[in-house]
Amino acid sequence: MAPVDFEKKIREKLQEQEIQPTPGAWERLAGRLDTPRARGRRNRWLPWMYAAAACLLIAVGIRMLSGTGGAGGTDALGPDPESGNLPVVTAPDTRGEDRQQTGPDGHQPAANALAGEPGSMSPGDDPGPVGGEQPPTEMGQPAEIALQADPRRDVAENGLAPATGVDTSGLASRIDQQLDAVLTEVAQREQDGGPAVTEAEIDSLLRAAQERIAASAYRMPRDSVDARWLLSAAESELDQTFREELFEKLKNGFMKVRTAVADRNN
Amino acid sequence: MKIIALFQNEKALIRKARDGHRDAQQALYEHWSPKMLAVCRRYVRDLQHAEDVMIEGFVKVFENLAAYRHEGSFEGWIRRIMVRQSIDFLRKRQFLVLQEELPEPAAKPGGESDFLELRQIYELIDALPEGYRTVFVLYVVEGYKHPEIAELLDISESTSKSQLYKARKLLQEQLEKHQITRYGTR
Repeated sequence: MAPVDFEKKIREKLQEQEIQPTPGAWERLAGRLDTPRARGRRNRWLPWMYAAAACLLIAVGIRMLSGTGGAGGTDALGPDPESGNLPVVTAPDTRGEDRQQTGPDGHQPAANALAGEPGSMSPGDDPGPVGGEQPPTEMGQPAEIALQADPRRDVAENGLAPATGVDTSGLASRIDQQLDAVLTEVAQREQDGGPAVTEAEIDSLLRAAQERIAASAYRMPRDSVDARWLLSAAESELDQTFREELFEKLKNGFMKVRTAVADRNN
Repeated sequence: MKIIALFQNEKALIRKARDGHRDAQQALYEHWSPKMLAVCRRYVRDLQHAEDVMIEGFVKVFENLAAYRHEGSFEGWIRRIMVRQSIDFLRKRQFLVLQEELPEPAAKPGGESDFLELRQIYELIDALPEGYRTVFVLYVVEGYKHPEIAELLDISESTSKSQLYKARKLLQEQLEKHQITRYGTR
């Protein structure tokens, strides 16, 4: 019998061999599988839920920042869609309160002094409209003040870009489109009979969709820097996936072992 | 019976185990654990430690089932995880030291001139230094090639070849002591 045959016999005998584990081995293994990390892996839909929540938060945040929220697409403080006039807010008659807020030395508080002519106000005077542009109103009528200038009117009239640099027109439809695209791609892959789409791949697709939405929503004004866009980009770079963290830890552990073995061999 | 029924469709069973179904995981464990414990035992002399290594290996198997693409055999995939886990164990315990000098062959109770029994094979293999044994088992039993062994153990191919040569030489000396006149008598 040649050495090769001898080794072949050893291989056959060892490969056929089976050793029964102890009865408690499965319980020990099941205990290890009950760790929070293992439990977390069971829910395949968890990343989808996180992603959907993140998209929703982004959409709501963008709407709130752009000030276009509200029923019917009109802002409570925005212009009247029909007349285009600025909204007015009825200011209550606060003369009595003004009197109470007047200091013992008879001077107006700083806020009130800034609102009108400094030093010309007396407790009996009507403070008049705030904002300086409105014509004076008659005594006894509520004062009307414009609280917010409309940036879109500035765009129309002066060609100026809005200060926020956020393009929210059709944002909800873009988010829906991106989500549909992701779902379609995942469904397509599964229908093709290829390998199952992993959570990491789903994360990757959703992240790409998020970046596309953000890129279309945040316009960089010419010759200016958008702080929110920069912050979003920096956060996406810093956001390491679990797989990357695991790889980094494995790499560090491997380098330590390698160094230790080399030191010992030397 | 339930386990046997489940094994009629291994792919479905793996998919269920991947989704965290404990019954499916247990079915996979009960089917493969005897073979995988034998795999770990080839590298780890102590059976209790070998079982610990096997359990760690199965934890990795279940955690990484999503990465299994059904391209090769499932047994081969599990086996590779167990081999890596065993080598990691030896490294952590600093058992895996590749020796350059041939040690004196251990005097073991003599066997018969017929082919060795499984117990005698283990006696021979366990008597080998850790580095020789690991390379020998990887090459002869698991069928790894020298480049793969070199990558797995982080050694050069020439070191892998020399370790295998020395393992064979030492086995031959031991077999002669076991009254088996040549490496592969008969």
